[in-house]
Amino acid sequence: MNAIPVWLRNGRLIVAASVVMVCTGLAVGLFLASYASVVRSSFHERTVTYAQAFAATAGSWLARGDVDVVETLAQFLVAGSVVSVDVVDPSGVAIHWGSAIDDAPAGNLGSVAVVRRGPSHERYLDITTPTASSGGHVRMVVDTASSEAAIRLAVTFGAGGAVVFDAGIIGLLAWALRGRHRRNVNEEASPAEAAEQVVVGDLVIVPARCAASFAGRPLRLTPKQYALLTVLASEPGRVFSEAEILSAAWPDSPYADARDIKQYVYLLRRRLSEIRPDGRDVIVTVPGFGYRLNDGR
Amino acid sequence: MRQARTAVAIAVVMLVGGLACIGQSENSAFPSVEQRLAGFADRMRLGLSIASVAAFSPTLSDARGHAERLIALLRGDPRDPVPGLISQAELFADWILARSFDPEVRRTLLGAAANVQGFLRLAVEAVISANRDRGLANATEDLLRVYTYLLAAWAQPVDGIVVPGLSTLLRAFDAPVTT
Repeated sequence: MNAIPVWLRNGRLIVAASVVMVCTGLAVGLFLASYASVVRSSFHERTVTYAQAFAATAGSWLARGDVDVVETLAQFLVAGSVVSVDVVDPSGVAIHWGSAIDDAPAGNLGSVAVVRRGPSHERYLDITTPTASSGGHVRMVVDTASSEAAIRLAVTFGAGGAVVFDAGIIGLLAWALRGRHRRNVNEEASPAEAAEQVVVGDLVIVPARCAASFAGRPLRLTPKQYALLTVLASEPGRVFSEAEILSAAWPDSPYADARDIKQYVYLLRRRLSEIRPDGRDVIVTVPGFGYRLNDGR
Repeated sequence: MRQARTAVAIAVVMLVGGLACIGQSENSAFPSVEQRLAGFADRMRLGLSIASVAAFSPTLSDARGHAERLIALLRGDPRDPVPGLISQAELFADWILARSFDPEVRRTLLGAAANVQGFLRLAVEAVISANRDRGLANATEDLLRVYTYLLAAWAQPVDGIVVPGLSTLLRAFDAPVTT
């Protein structure tokens, strides 16, 4: 049983972590799907309006007989996302600007179609819209690469964000489990350590690791505090005189005296009472004689 | 005495030549004010056309491309010999100042020219802002502002309500354009 780490034995936390990760992945996936849909739809609508605005302007210029300006405007469009522009007027004017597109319009007048071209089947919008006043029509083929790039960027960042979030969750859980793991000093002790450990009530001392716990929680002790506690726990219930304590805990300090013992007992009691308010009663002062560890008797 | 006659003859030739040149400039070598106004109106119409399309650009890069063209049209392009619309409007205001008009007409013309300049400057500010925007929504708003200012500079009356502008000048000089 001891060969399996505590945090693996705690199935509820593993399940909770899995649920959080699955939920996060699901939420990010749904968000990205809806974002992609919104970006595509917005791009689609704007492009249609763009084509209609150009058709209105082109019709106005053609009605004035100014073909050059229409060509200039078509040239401007092709410098951006527009792949090709065709303006056809009943008067016989036919303007083409951009890449040569041999196939017929993908839809009828006033239609919008999503077509795929090229070796990698890129998405294009093929829009045919009537000009406002001249009775002709405009056909515009627009590359959707920019909107697709925005979607790809969002998916990359979104997926990256989800991974970072999940990693954070795992890290937090690991930290929390580690805390629990550290608290279970008794449970974690190996058979050899368990054989050596000293148990006095809720106080547990594991000499092999110079560690102690009280009421199941680890005690943060300095070496001197640990030494004092070890001396008292060596014979629980027995009163140790100050001289005995000094010789055992301060063997190399000829200047240590009763005030040091008093100071360290105070600090130990504070550590114990931090874990449990009655922890200070674990060390009992016997006036005129010394100190003992309360063994419950 | 002989030298004095020669000098007078040269002066007369120069005077006659100079007057001839001035007459030519007034008639054929330089466009008339009506023609210049008509050319100005055509470029304004081109600016309006670009702005009306640019405001619906499907991508930010399209919007910026159109904004750059509008900036070149309004402020002038070093590669283009024709000055920008703002410079043209300023030159026209100077021309009005240099000519003798009836005071009332003069005030109207100068007021209209000043309005055109003012709206064109606002359009330049908006289009520069559009060119700097990092989002398509903001660029769209700025390009719509450009369109609005250009329309205001044109000053097409709505039920007789109008801030005098280019259409006022076109009518005043009977420029050969359809408004």
